[in-house]
Amino acid sequence: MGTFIVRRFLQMIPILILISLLTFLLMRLAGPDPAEYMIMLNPRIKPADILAEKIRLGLVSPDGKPLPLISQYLNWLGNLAKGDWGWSRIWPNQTAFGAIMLFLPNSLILMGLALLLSIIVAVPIGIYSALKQYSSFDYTFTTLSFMGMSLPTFWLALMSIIIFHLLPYRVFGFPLFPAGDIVSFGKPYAWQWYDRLWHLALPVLVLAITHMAAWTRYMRSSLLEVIRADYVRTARAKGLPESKVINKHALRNALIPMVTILTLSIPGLFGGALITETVFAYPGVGRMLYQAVVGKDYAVAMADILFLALITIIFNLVADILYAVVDPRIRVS
Amino acid sequence: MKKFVLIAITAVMLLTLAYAPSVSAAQLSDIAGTQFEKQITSLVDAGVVAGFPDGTFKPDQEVTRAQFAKLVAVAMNLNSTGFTTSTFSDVAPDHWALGFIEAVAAKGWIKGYPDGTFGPEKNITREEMATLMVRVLGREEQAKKYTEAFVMANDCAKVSEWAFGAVTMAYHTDVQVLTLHSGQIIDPQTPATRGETANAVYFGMKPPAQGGSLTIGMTQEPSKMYPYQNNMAAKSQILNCVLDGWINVVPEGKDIEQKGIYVPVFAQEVPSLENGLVKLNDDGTMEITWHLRKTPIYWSDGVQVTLDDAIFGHDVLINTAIPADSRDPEDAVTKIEKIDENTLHVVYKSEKSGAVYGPAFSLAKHKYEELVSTNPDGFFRSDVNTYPLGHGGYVISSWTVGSSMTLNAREDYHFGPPNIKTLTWLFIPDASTIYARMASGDLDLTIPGIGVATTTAIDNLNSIPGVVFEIHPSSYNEHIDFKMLSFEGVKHPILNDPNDPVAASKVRHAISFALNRDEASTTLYKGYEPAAFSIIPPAVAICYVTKEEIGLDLIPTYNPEKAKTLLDEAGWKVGADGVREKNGSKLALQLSTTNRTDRQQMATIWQKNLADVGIAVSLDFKPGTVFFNDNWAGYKRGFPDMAEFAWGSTDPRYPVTDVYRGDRVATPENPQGQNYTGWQNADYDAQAQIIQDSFDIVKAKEAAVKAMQIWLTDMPGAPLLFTADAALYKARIQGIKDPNWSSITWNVQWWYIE
Repeated sequence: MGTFIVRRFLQMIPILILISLLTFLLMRLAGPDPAEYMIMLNPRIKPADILAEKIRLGLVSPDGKPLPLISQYLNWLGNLAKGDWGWSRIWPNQTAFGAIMLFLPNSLILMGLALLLSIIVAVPIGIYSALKQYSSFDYTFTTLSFMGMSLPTFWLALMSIIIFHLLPYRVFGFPLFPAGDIVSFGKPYAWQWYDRLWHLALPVLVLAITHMAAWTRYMRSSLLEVIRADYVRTARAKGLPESKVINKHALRNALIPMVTILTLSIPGLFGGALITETVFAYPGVGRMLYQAVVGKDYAVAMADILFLALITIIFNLVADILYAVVDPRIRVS
Repeated sequence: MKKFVLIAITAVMLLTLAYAPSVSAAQLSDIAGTQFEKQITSLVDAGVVAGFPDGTFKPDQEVTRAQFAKLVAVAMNLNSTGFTTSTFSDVAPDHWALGFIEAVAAKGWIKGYPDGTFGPEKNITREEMATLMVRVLGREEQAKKYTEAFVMANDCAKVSEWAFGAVTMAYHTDVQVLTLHSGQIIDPQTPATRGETANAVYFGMKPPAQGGSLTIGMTQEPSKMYPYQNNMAAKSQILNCVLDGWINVVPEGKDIEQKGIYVPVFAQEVPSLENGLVKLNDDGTMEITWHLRKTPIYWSDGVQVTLDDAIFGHDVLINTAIPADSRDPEDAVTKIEKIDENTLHVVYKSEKSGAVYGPAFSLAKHKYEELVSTNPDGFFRSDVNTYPLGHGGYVISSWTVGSSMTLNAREDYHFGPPNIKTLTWLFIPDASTIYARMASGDLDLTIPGIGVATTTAIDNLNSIPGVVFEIHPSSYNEHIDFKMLSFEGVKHPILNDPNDPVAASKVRHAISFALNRDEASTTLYKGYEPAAFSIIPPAVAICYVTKEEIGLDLIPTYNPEKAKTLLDEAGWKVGADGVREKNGSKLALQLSTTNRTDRQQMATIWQKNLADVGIAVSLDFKPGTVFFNDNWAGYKRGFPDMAEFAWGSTDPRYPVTDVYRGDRVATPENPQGQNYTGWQNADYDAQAQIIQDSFDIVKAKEAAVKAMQIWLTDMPGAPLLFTADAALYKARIQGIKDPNWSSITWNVQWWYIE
């Protein structure tokens, strides 16, 4: 087990380097650089100022010679190794690391709550659907699941604003839930935990609905598979009561693949939710990455992508290890 | 004697009739739509004033001092009975207004002339009215500290010395008993009209409400607040609340009629050739003399603003170690020196009309000097980006990056404490969410251009109760740029392909004449975005040129027959499939634009129009960021034939004519060029230079006419529409005057919530 983990960690290094090189090249080769972008903002900008900006961005050497992409990349990597993440272009006075730290906690709260809610609702539904396969309950929730999966998030988000914000305002004179933001800015109770939760309600609901569908299906199919397994039939044959068969034999085993899926979905929490965060004006890391890519904030985009890659690889490893832990039939080597 | 008494009684009755309640406000025939309608209506309904028996109010009629005394006495509920003797030598004891004059005089509000007279039958001047109203409001002590009229107006020097303080106070944010006349002038010695007196008394009875907060939604968030870099609409909206300057541009009038008037803020007057503060020398250099106001102005930390701050701002702006979007025109300064504490002398190496804004007055020397000199990079990453020290009406109190910014009013603001105490800005990236949140009352205001989309606003006009929808011209012109790979008579290293159809002037003209702009305007924008005929939209008010000034024969109007004739002449003959051909190749062009819904619909109209005259057009829609990435950055222009987009300016003085100059053609050596057409015309360049630099507005406007004539003769692009912006705000916010070209927040300090 120990050697397995060490080996996997060592494998991570070339993977990360490859990922960083690829994203670096993609960012640099996609369209004009941030200095050229400045031209769009002001027609009267002087070539000298564009050059100065290019030097600041590390696109050109301090003596004004254009740097080849590979040296740009090596410089960036060297700085990163020294702990210099570079300055953000879009967020005031923030390093790339600072910018991520500004938005990541918000996304973790949003995505974490959404995941929790969707699992709390979806797992029992999935179990019940599996136990009552082809019942009207099963059909109803299968249909709802597919609807949840297929509805576009932006539409769902706007609908939730109309139903829970605008409509109550029109009918009762006050909105049931806020249509966005992280807290009630300008109000004395801003940043209180209940204020934050109140603002999380709609985005969490929207994300949970879209996630719920998948979890219901995972749980249902996982349990269905187990129920047909030989050991469940054996359990029934030896006369165990149905509740014991399900709880002790079927369900426990059905949850094993769920643990893997859950572990693998954790990196998603760190990625944020671009569309939901945009519609609800929620300052999350998904919107941050999008703005960084569109706004040519190289430092932030590179740092965030690399960070996401790292988290993904780590949780892949965790999933492998956990799988071995929960399922005694599997050994890692 | 009996007869005299009779006449006197009749006279008194007739005079008092003027203010006798006889006609209700709703019946007044001549106030609807006038400037003071609201105030007059309110006073008539309150029984303070009345209309004439013929159902009119005559808001433009002058008012005598006696009449005004009565107005004030009635409005302020003074007891005017029981007065039998007169304080003033020229008010007879039997004067009809004796009681009113004495009642007001007893309060100390009327002091009369130094010789002991009152002049009851003289018309009351605006500065006299201001003096009286400031006393009524109990602000006389505060007014005494002014040694000049400190008003954003162009005739402060005309104010009488005894009225300096009163006139200044009269325009304060929390007073507002005087308004400015056309041209942003005080007209201090002009008699006040009935409408103006009604306005003064209205605000005397009910001064602008202090307090309250506004929640403002916009799609953009500033990337930093540092004034000289990363300029964007969102930032200028907020900086307008935080910073003032030497001068400002004030909108006058509404919609297409709106004009921009320069007014002094920290300057005593706006420098011009006429007042001698701008001098053009024979050697081509230019000198500007600035006079700073005598009234002390303070940074929000309490330190006084001085000319050293202006020089420091200039120094930072030309310091190449510190990034800036543009150092123009500061980099043309050859000498900047302080003559005395209030006089600054600046010499420029050539005529630069942009210098009228003065050496940037946006940085506090006492706060930033040390950092700038020891560590320019540290300065650039200091709180100048987040909480810059300002001298405007508001101070940034908190900024939650990614979400919101809060601004608090400065009680010691030099034009009076801003009435609305808190401005909370929310950065909401999605325009549909902004609309929903306006509808739910969540937001009080959205910012034109970066708020609700114009088309959404047009579709929902008047659908949210209590919300004002204003759709007004913006400073953007929607147009098509033709990418000419060659142009008759002009050789350019990277632009030389005789086979390119749009390189032929006749083809470009044919396209321009084939477009049915009115159809697009009516079907997509209900006419709010009118058909364009040049690249200078009406919002660029000072240099706007009309169709007639350009010459109607040059204006591209919908005329498919003319388009067909031009194409025939250019050698493009209709083929079997209806598409024109020449030398075996078809006239097929691509139109690239962004994927904004209304743009896509517009492009489809153009496609149909052009098909009608035998041009096959394929459409290419890209997300805005991709389109602008491909096309905006220098010579790597991503569109093959035609690109539709909009250029805009942020000043009513400067149109975007510069982008079509020959030296702006984007080349590998000059990648920042924004002339994507490749068009070069030396005559045009000369006119564009005059438009940009000339201090003489008449000359600039003449140059604009000539430039547009040349442009339309060569047609390097096709004008499409003059665009519009939508401002949405709650009706209870008073005082909003949205300029077509810039920030709606320019006068936020004077707004109040009713």
